[in-house]
Amino acid sequence: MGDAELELSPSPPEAEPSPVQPSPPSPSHSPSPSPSPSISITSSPSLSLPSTPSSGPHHHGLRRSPSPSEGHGGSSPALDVISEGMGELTLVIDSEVANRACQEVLLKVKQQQQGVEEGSEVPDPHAPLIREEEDPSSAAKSARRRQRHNPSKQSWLLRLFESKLFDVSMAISYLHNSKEPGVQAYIGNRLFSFPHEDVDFYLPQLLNMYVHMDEDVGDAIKPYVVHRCRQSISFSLQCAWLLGAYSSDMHISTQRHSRGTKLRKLILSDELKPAGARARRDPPTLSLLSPSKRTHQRSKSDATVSVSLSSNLKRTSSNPRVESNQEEVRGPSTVRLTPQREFIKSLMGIGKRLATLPTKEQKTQRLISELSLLNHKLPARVWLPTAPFDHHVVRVPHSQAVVLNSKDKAPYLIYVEVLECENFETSSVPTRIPETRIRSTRSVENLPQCGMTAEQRTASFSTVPNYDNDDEAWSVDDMGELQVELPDVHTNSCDNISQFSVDSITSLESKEPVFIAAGDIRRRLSEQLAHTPTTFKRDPEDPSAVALKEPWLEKVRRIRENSPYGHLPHWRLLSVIVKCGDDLRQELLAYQVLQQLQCVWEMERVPLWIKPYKILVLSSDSGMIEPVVNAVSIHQVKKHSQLSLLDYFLQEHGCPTTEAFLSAQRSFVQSCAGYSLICYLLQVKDRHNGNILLDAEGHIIHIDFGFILSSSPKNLGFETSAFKLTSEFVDVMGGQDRDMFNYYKMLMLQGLIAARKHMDKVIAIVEIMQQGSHLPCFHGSGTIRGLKERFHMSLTEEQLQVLVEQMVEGSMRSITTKLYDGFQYFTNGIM
Amino acid sequence: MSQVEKKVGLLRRSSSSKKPLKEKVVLMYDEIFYRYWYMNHAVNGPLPLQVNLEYLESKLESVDGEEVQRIQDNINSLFHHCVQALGEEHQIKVVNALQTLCALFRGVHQKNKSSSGFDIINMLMGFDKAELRMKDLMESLDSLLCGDGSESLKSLCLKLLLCLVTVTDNISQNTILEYVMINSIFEAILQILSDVSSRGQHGYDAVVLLALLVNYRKYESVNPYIVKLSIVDDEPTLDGMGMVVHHALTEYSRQYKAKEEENQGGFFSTLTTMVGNMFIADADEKLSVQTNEAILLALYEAVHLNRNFITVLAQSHPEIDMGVTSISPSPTTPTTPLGTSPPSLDAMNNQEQLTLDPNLQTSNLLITFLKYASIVMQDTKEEHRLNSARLCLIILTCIAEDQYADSFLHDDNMNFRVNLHKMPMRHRKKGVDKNIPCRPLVCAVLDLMVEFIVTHMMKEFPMDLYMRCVQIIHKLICYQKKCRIRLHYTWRELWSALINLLKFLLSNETTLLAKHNIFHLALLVVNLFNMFITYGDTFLPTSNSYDELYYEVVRMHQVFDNLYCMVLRVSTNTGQWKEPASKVTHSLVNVRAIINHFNPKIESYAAVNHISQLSEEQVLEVVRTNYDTLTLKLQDGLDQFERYSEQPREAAFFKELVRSISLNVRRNVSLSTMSQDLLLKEFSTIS
Repeated sequence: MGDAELELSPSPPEAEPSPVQPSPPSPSHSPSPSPSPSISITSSPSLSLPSTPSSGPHHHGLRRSPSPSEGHGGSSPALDVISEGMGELTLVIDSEVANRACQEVLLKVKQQQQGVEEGSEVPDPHAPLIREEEDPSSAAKSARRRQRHNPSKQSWLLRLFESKLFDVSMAISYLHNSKEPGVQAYIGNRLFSFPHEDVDFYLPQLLNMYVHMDEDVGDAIKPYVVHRCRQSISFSLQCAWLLGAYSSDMHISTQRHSRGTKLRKLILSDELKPAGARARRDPPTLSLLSPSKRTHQRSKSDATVSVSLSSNLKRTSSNPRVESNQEEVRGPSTVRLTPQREFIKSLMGIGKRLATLPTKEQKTQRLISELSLLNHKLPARVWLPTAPFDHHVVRVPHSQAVVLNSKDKAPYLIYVEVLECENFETSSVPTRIPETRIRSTRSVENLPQCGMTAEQRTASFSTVPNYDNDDEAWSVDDMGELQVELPDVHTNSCDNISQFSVDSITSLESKEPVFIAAGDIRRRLSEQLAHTPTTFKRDPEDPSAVALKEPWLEKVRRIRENSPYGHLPHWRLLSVIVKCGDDLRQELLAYQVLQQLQCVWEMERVPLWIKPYKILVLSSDSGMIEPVVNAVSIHQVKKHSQLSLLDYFLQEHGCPTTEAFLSAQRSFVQSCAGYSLICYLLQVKDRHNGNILLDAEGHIIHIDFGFILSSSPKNLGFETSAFKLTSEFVDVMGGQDRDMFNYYKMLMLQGLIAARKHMDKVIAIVEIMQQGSHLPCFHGSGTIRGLKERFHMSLTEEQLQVLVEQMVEGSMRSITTKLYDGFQYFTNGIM
Repeated sequence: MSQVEKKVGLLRRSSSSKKPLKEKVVLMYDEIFYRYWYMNHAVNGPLPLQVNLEYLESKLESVDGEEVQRIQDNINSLFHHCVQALGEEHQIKVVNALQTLCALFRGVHQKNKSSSGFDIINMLMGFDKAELRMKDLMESLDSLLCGDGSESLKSLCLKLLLCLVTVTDNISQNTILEYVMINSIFEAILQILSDVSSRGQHGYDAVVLLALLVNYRKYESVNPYIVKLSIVDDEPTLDGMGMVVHHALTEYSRQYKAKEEENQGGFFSTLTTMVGNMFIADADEKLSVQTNEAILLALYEAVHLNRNFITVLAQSHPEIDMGVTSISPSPTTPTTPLGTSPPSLDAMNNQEQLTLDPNLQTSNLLITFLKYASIVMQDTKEEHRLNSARLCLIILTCIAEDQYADSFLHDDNMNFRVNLHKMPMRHRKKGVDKNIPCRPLVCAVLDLMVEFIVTHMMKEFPMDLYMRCVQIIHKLICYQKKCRIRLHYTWRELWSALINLLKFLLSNETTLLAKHNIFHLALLVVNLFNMFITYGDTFLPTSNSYDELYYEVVRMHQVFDNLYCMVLRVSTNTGQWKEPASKVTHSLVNVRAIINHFNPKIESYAAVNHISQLSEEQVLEVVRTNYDTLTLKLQDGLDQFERYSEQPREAAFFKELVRSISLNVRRNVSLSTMSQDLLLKEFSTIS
């Protein structure tokens, strides 16, 4: 039973960055019996004052908690409030409960330290409440077990747990490494006290532990998960998807009865409703009687409407009468999760059907038509889980969707118009605006922007004294629109206005003829053509290139202009890549590592640039990816521009001395350094130009982390170099041994040093996911060891510098990179 | 006895070969006329017997004036009873009631062709009761159509309604329809269209019925169907309507193709058919498949009246296209007179057969419509087809005026291959259309217009169609100019087509002037050129295309010169064409400036370089270098156009069209086509 002792070892954040630092969770490592100086830094007064909350937010939570219950009339005792309270209150109260539970556990430990046997004697009025969170018997068992250990070690652990530095990362790591049910239960309770976003980041780890680790860990995690599921639809679905995905590696026979599957079923059955659900469900039924019938019908119908999404194109429930019938039968109970699930399901369905079509052209057309049907069911209470804000999806601009380049699967990119809202669960779903409504909303003022501004136009007609620009801008359509307001013009036929305007103009201008030079027209034409930003030519075999090349803001403007919802102030455009038939769990892992490293580098102020893009795992073979905006793959760049990378930089950003070029170059170097390190640390393989994007600012962005850590494509043993650094890249940096190139190496060194300092955070993310996983990246036994070794904890900074030099040299000389590019060119046509 | 009668009789005989005996029901009908039979049997609930429609109809017709007065009460009672029977549980009674009602409507109308609508109402229901009876009838029909009853029953209801709507030649004179206006069945029609299965079976009838109802006293009064149709915004319903139209048009194209292939059997077969045609003459309308104006009218009304329907045009239905193309020419409708017989819609159910054909295209209503139009517009000699072509162009006009439609026509992301049908012509090879690039839909529209312009310069000059055609192009270009859309289209084809059109007008001036105002058309054409010349910078795709425009104008300068001479001549004379001709003179100012500017330059270039014949590249070079010394006059109102309005200009056309559709529908709606045996079989099992 040496496990508990292991916890003792210094926790990374406090540790001084000593070159030879022991890595705490390693089982092979022997515990240091004397408390390391770093721990003593953590000054925690809580030991002497057991009632004091351990951390800041805690404090806050405790102090706040009584006030709502008082404000609530004060008549009901706290206990009642907890069980029957309103949705908003549960949050506060639950953290209070969690607090008490934490303290309880701590108290027990303390009592043990003092040699007091009866830890369970502590009077606890809330004991029944947290019963499901902690089995008293197991607590007693653990207490007994713990007793055997050195009490001083326990105290260090306790002090660590109570310290301000104890963050989610450490909690997760201890949860994984500790075999102590008491510690696990404690951490399980502590989860309640962390900010939601912080825990959400580690959700894959939590759930993977829940699925694959023993009973105690599961019991420690479950209350938190259940609690959060009650609060949030999006969290519920997230959990359900991840649980499904991580359970899939289990043997089919065990899978069915596993905890993960059960919890998933529980969530999807939608029994985990907020405590106040009953109360909240009443208003809708009331509103049945309310005069605002229209809105009610909408909000109520969206659920069933999207139900019909599943039978996707059959649209049996399309007619209103049938729909309302279904509504009543089903009732509002299963409605909570259904719309979103059906939305996702239909997106996946599209992907599957696209895969059956042979050509890109057909796929694109099919995609557009399927999406336009999907549009009929929107707006609904559905959202894109990759977005950082709450919203409702109102429309999919179907004609903008593109099929991405992939050999046999059919990933596709869609743009989604959403309306930002306070809370997608409670805010009402926007009402539908018919497609054709754009004509009334599309204002005349926008039109001149399409090409040249109104001023430009008038200015260009320099020889034209009397050219009335307004007349041109007032389209005939608007004339038609206007005529409604005008009282009896000539007769009541539609034509009159346009006729009328024609007359007015002619009569006005016939007095003095206006002359223009043919040369001006011709010049304007060529100027305007030259001024339009460089676009790629439309290629039916590569439909995504054009769509991705278009600047994001330009696209947003264009889509907004054409959208019936575009005039609404909360209108936003999102995009998402839907992948069907691909396992995104590795991508998710890579995203987490990238995100962690990005944080580390930011914290350590190393100007490395990487772009972690959000991943949504829906199952073990489907998911969504947040696209990187304003970026095209280097393959597409080279193919469409027919230029070398440096020349392309010159074309896009200007000559080498300009500010624009220099800043693009700097971006390039910073991102190259960042991704070089990532590629090295994670052993990212399959680095051909189709998997490296270049954004409008000059950054490169690596995508597709399908081959990381222990896996490599086809095991051909290609790509032996540490990372991809082609001579083209070096050219963009200005060439070898130039300033920018040295800057690149310097950045890498700094980045590696910083990453090394926080290695444990990265290791924890990866190590937990290895649990029970059959992912190829964990193939073999040395995955984690290899990863740790690549951080080179034992090297001095001088040695690290040499290492970086060697890696850069090696990568540049690497013939395999060239070979691999050649291989990709021949097999996949990627340049 | 009318033709309709004969036809019904004919069909009847073929369905049941036995000689019509004096059935019991016939005896009953006799009783209706000669005795107060009804009174005696009312209690027992009569009409459980099979209906003998032809007998009833002929009986009604055979009675003469005085007798009519005598039997009116009986007819009223029978009508009343039938309406009551519609609410019966026993479906067989409902079927009989529906059929009897239909026979009553027809018979009474046949008998009293000349009499006013009020007399007919009186005869059928009695004035005092009419309102109540019709209300009951419409309500019963509504509930039958919306209920979960038998599909054949619904079908019968629709047939009855179609029968009622088409009893008169001129729908607006059918006074009974006033009651159909008051007691709207619009919602029932919509419901049929919104539901997939009922749409498949009854969609066609429902759409035709709606199109006809919308045309009842369209211009004289407020027609609730017009109002209601114009505000429908339920997508599934509109979509369903689009789908019905889509299927009907697809079916037509398919049949046409089949016919075409059949006819390509070589010289001998064409010869024989020619000979055959000489003998058959107008017995069978040529080899062409009969056009379907009813469905086209429905499409027009939807596009014209309902803004939201525009979205349906671009809506594609992947699963259905798959089905349609995967089934081989179906054996379901081997009958040739297609008129209004519903096309087979089983294709909808065949979506399992997904073929992996790389040539397979996702289609939408607009594409289908364009293909249909390309067939119809090929041959406009015959009046039906001329009307169809006109209606097609009117629909296209409405589409071209709609901003939303324009936006998806020009959407760069929505590219399609549209295989338009082209007339086989001597100087043109057929079969090159396999490699049509994927382009925005507007290219297909322009292609269709160009194709029409090129192929219809004939003695019987379809002036009206040409006007519409050029106006559609103008509207599209106005949109492009307004929104700065640079369409990658080979404008050159359009320019040369337009110039050829001018040439044709010039060479046939005298014959054409006798019938048409050719100056109006010439003005439109010249103004199209003016659009390109003055606003080319806003919508031309490349700077080269502007040079090419000048090249084309200069190359064909003789046409413009001649046109100028001609209009100058006409405008200096006094006469009815003075003003329109002088308008053309003014509009030619820029074209003439270009010709007068560049021609000498080109000549001198040739002289300096000692070249007799300049190549295109050389001319373009001259054009490019000499822009700066050319001044153009800015003309006003080039981008203004007259918006389409049905009234008053098109009213006469639509009146005539609806009349011919009514006749056609009446001819084809036959209660007896639903074999009674079949109905009986079904209902005996149900009830």
